[in-house]
Amino acid sequence: MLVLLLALQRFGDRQWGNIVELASAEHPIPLYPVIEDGTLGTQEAGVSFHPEDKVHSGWSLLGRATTVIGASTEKNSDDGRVKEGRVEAQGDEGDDAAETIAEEDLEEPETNEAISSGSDAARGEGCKQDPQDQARDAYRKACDKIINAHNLVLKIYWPETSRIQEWEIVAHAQTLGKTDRFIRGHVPEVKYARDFDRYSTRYIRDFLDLQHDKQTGTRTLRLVVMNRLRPLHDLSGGQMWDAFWECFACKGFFV
Amino acid sequence: MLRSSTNPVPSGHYRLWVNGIRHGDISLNNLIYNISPTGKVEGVLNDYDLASWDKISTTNSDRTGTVPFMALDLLRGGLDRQIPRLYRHDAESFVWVLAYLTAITVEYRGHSVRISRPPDFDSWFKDDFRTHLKSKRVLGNDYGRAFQIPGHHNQHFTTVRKLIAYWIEFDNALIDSENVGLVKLEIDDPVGALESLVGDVEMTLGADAKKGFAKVKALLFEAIKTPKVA
Repeated sequence: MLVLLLALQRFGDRQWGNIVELASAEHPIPLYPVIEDGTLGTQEAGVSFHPEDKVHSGWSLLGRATTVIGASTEKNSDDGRVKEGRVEAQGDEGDDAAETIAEEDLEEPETNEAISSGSDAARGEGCKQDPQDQARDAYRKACDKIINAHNLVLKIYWPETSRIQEWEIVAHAQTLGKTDRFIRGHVPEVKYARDFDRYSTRYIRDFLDLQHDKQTGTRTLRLVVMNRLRPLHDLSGGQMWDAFWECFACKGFFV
Repeated sequence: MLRSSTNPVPSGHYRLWVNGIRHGDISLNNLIYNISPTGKVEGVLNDYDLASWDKISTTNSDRTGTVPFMALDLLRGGLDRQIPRLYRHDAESFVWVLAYLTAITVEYRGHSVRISRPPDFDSWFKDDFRTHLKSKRVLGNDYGRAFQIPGHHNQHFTTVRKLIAYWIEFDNALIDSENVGLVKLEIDDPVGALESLVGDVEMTLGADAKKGFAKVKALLFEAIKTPKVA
């Protein structure tokens, strides 16, 4: 016990996993812009983040532990004066155990995002609006304010370093989209990114001699900033159906 | 209402796949949408953490896929089984996402939403793969029967149920073909392996499947033309 206490005493901020760059939302995080060819620029850009504007959270000890929060570049920040909005999903209690084996992936959809376009039923002029459509429209309006203030998202996660970097693959998809109109518009944009290697799990793995297979296993802290989009379940039936098939394979695949 | 065109326009995941980008993690959270400058809703496939690109080989120990929407074949194999990512795994995941997405009820409260799902989906989110697998396999029958589909998805529910039934039959064909060796066969002789599987599905589901799923079949065959990455 005494040895453990003495050992713990030697831990600094970094060993405790305290990430100083994310400790205070008052200071923008210095990230690098993603260039068209999928590499990172060298000129740092400050991105403000807003922890109270939580988009997705998948905290867990294993896996990538992805968290997504609202973000903005300095010019359109509103100092984060947005109240938290999130999904309450049913049946959470049984999900934690599963999450430990399933990375961050036993997910309950979470969002506080909205859409500004009308629903199917709302489009017919003079029609009486369905209460569900009314509620959806009110929700979209409420969320539009949040999205206008924080038009980006910051994704914080711990991917394996052996994997291809997400921004590289998205940049390639964007390049394909330039000549392939069926890809254009259907992939996100990664605007800024940075790996914080000093938080890599490599150090503790080396120390504990867990690096038998050097190729895999090591994770690093990765921050990625993307444009803010909206979840499919915000849409009414017909729009959702179309958007789903656009993501998958073919628009108009099954009508 | 936005209407679909009668001619399918290939897009999204499938186009990326045939161009060498393999997503490998299809889940509800990864399907999002954008509103274009002209006000059009555009589906966007997000989250390329687990994606691979055939030009760059990577090694990793991250399992690919989101458990609730994972293909039956991958679930049955357990998470430790090293199975190469095949197009059909992602395509099947899309159908499980669709089943879930069209069955949930979304309540809007201020700028939050509350999502409730029929209890038939509970096991998808729990740590018992056996029950999870079973609950997916009965969905071909129970979808829209054991629970009600929200009104705004009514027009599509028979299509969704047929798609679910298709993948269950696909999985049956895999099991019957002693699937242990099949993944290897699919890599060595992708067209032959797929033809045999699809043939078995069509035999079980009959003429209806042949007609209704000609498009699914065309997608599967086109997608496997490109070489695979393990």
